[in-house]
Amino acid sequence: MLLEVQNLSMRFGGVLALRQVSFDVDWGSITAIIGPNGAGKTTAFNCITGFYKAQQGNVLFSPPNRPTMDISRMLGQPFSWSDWVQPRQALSKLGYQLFGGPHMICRAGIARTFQNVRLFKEMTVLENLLVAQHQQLNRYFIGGMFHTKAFRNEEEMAINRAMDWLQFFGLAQDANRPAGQLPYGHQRRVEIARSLCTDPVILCLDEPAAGLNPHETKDLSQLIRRMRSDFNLTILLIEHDIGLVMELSDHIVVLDHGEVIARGAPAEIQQNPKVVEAYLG
Amino acid sequence: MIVGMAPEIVVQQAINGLVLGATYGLIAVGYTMVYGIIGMINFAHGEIYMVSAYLTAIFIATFQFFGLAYLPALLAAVLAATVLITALYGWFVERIAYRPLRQSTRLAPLITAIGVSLILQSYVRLSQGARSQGIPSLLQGSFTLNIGPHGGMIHITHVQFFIIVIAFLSMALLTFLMLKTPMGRACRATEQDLVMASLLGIPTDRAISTVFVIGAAMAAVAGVLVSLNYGSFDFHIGFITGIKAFTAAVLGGIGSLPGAMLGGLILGLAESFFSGFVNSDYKDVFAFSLLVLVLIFRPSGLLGQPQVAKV
Repeated sequence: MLLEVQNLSMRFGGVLALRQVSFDVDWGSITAIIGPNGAGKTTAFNCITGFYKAQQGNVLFSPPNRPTMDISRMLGQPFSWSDWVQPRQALSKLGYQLFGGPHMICRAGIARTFQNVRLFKEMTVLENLLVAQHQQLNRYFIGGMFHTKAFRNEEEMAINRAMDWLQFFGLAQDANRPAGQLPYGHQRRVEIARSLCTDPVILCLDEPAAGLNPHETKDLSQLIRRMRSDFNLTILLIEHDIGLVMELSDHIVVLDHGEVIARGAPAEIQQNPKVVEAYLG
Repeated sequence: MIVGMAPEIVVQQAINGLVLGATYGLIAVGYTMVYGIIGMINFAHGEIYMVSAYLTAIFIATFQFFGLAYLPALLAAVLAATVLITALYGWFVERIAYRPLRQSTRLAPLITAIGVSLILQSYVRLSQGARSQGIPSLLQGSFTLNIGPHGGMIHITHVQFFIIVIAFLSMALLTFLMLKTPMGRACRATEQDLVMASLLGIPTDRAISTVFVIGAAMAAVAGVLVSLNYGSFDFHIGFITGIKAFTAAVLGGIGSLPGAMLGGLILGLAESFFSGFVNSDYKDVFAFSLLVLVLIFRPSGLLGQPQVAKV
């Protein structure tokens, strides 16, 4: 299992947005989360990617060849009484409180996109992709200040890597345009390219096909397949376009009113009476 | 420009204004960058500048005591040491007074900023005394240029020349750092969308610290230069200079880096021309009236972008 979501709960005021949500994501799979509006899909997504801190439950992330990580712990947990008897736990909590945060989750290998595109609009497309490579770059301020050779080489490598991704997404001609000026469909692809620049293990796409025309949607589904086959990426996506979900995904998780009502392969989900009821009733 | 003035006086005032404006610009950078990244006005920034003036005196005395007599080396060492220590002050202030309040209301860090400003003032007054202090004038002499048909003369002191050169070099270096290095990119990304930046793996807390450190370093450059020029300072010079630099930042469009530099220069030139040609007692009135006028016609400042409500 690459990602194990265990008993995730999240409450906003009086609304229980997630109630004991559990599901798994296999390494190398395309997993889709579907459900009616307000079912808690985006909330679950936000908890997994470190955008929200889950109030209860764990998200365990075990990338290949690395130890298992607990997402909610990386965001910084408050101290509790049991820390007195477990000083190691207290120390790790202190460490994460001081240096933890959503950036650690990105470094662990989870990348995401947003439903409403969130590019750095005043930067060029290329700069957007370079920002995402921040963690892999030589960030020494002195090197930048004196423009050393090592610094320049590294900068050039980052630009090449960014251009490779732009080529993959067919955006190379837009590299030096301000990101905010691109057409919407292109901005979506830039956002996916940018999250790939963080070198993720799992890519979380929040409604990637929203606002795209049928032709663009078709291209997108091909791109998603290619990302998985060419780069060994695991993909987790939220999508309303059921046709796209059924065509793409290996595994589907259905949420309704903050609860998981069904899990399984597309064929099983289509025949599940609970799912039919949730969508029609 | 006032008609009938001798050209050499106009040029002389322009140079004086440029010198003044360059230091305003250096300090304004700190206000504008901090506002850009976390949307707060760092009222303790003027005090950081004041601390750097004291550090200048301390380092000049220390280095001279240890026998560093060669003037360029002394100036470089003083500049480097002051910038370093003042940058540490900037880092500490952010870490202690602002970061713990990051998640609270917008007003809370504003109040702690005022608190920090009072603490720094009292700390300097207690440790250094309330009387004004001075440093020896290290750079003496001036260039004299003949201009105009009547053989009018203008004087540029060596200190003024030094100020203009160093100020513009540091602005250029800062612009380069912000535009071309990963560090600057991370700061700009954090400024535009903090949450997205952190989801892309940028340690945003560190980016915010970096901005405070850069702001303090630029204020320290200004502190060294102004101290070399005037030679005397006391524990509350930070207030009025801070307000002026803040005005410069607002004038140029708060949040915009070139705006802060431009605002500083315009404010310095305006003050200098006004005090040269009209009345030096009312120069502050003129400077602030200019601010009011600009804000009436361009509420977001000269180079600032109008705020678009985010949905």
